[in-house]
Amino acid sequence: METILDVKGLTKSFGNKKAVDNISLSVTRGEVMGLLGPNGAGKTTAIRMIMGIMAPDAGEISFNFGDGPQPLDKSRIGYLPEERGLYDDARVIENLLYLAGLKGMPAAEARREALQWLERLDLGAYANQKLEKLSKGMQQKVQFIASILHRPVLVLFDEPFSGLDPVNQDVIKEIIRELRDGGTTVLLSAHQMNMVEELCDSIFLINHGREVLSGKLQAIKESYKEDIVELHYDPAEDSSFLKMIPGLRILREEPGLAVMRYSGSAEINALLQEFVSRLTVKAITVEKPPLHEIFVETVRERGEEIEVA
Amino acid sequence: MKWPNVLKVFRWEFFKNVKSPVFLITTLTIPLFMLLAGGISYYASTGISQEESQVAVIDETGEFFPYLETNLANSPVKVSLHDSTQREQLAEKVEARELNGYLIFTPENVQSGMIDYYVSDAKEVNIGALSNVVQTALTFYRMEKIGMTAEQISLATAPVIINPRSLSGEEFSVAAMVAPVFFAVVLIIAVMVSGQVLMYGVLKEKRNRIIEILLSSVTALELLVGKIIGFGLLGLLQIGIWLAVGLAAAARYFDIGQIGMSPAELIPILLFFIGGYVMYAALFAAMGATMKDAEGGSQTQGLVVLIPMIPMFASGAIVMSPNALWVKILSYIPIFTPATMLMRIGATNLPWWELASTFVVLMLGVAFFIYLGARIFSRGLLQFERTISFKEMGKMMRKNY
Repeated sequence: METILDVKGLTKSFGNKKAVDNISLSVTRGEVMGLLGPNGAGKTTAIRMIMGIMAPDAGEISFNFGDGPQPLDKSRIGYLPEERGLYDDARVIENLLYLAGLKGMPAAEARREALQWLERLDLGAYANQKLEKLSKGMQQKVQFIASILHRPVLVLFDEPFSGLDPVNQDVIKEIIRELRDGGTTVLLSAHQMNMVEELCDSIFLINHGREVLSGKLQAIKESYKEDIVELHYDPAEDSSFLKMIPGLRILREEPGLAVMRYSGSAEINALLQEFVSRLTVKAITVEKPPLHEIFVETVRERGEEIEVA
Repeated sequence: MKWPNVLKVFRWEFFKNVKSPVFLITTLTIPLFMLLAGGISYYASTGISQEESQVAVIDETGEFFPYLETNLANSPVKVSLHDSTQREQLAEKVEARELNGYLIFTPENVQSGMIDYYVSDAKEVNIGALSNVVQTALTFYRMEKIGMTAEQISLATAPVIINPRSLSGEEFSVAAMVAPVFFAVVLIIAVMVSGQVLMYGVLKEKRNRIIEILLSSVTALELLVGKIIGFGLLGLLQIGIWLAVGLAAAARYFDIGQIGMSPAELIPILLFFIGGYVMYAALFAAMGATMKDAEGGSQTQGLVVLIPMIPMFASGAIVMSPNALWVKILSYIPIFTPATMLMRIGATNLPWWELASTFVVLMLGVAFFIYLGARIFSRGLLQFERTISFKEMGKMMRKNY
């Protein structure tokens, strides 16, 4: 697997506070990586350093767009900052053309593609409107277009879903998947982990500027020791034996339904067989807990606190 | 620094701002003010003396009045002769403002020269034009009285004109002295106007967060230089419009050929002008980057705008004594160099080495302020939530961000 972005020992302090503390990560070409953590964990600072907007105190950042390691080439990277904003006294299309121009995209091509994107995001009618006439959500979509219009090889999305309604969140998710399918590498940050979990191939969990967990999402989940088990059975039957099974904790219980957390030493299959032998099972699902819980649990095990700024 | 990026920023800033209300309004209203101010001072200086006045004369000498009349031929003062018995009627007419006043000439006062002029209110009388003609008329009258011939009189009264000449043989003209002050004033106004627009433009980009997107494509230095060039050309365009209007207006009132300067004078003026512009623009852009909003905490930064104006407060003294030691010292302090030198260039003939050395100082100042501006600019830009103090700016300049 080819690495497109390689970060080593990245560190940055503001005053006495270490915003980013010795972070190393590498992003593989064509994947979606989630940089996840609570607000104030250091995600934006890390992304700003990768984008070359801030200089790190220590550490190295290198890129490889397919022709060997190279320094930062801003024209091949797309960036959607967390702090949104465009020229509100200029027209939508003018904003897009200026920003694409700064990335080196020829004007005619930029105009053609910008109009296509605007159509796609239901903003076709607003191309010649001044940006200030658009709602906040529409302006966010325009900004999203600005970050991908020049067909970057790598895109950095900082909190791409914040401030968007659920319908538009889904539209953006769909576009991110399309970008990945088209070969674009995506590094996105989010504090609502559950929202991006389904989108990411790999993740990097960060808290207090330090790495908590990182790797392929699937691998992280599978190696996590706990499972969430949801069991539907005949309500007439007695399920009190569940409380006696070591490592099984009941989260929610109703007649005919039990949601449990299993962290016992026995194989999960043995557990399921026990259910089947003692109850009339109607449905059963076994899932790894959501990423957010894995994050909270891992942080707690380390004796750290989760700071919400 | 990549020049194509600078060029793109420049194009955007120029075309966006040339259409902006602030630019259009200042470009159009300032010439209006210039016309108004020029017109007012022109009519104020010429209008009063041109105003006609009606003055009655009681001539008890019986022979002075014709002298007065002859001398009044081209004057706005009109006189009429009256008998001393009419004095009360004249007083009434003066009170009724039908007459500006009346004069009484007696055999005694034409000798002593202490002439009484009776008016309604002595405070509001302008006697400049009147006393000139009475003085001349009396001189002629007295000379004839002591028996001088017309020839002797014309010899004795031949006018005297003092014509100052520089040792270098150069002609002296008021216009040539006014021009440099004028250029310094134009520099200051242009800097104030487009500098403020630049400063608040940066502040606005910072406030509406576009700045971070821009920095993801260009460096802070490219952005700064693009903006300075963009606003520089906007400023030059504005000045061009003002000069055209100003010269057209000036041509109505006096011979503008007198302002005409040789290229040898024009080139240093242009160089100091542009250098000054770039330096101040860099400073203002940096100030804009440190501000959070246009109110409150930004007041201190707003004061920085006044720094380039300081030499203007001493403009009179600088033009009168352009080679005084303190003026020379002022010329070597980069932030004051442009305005001071613009005034000195017109006021005197400066040796080439002084022009060259102050220009070098200015260029060092330009380089320093662009460097400093870019550093403050790039560091201040992402500090969205607050105004940066001067102390912190000092820190920023030392620390690598």
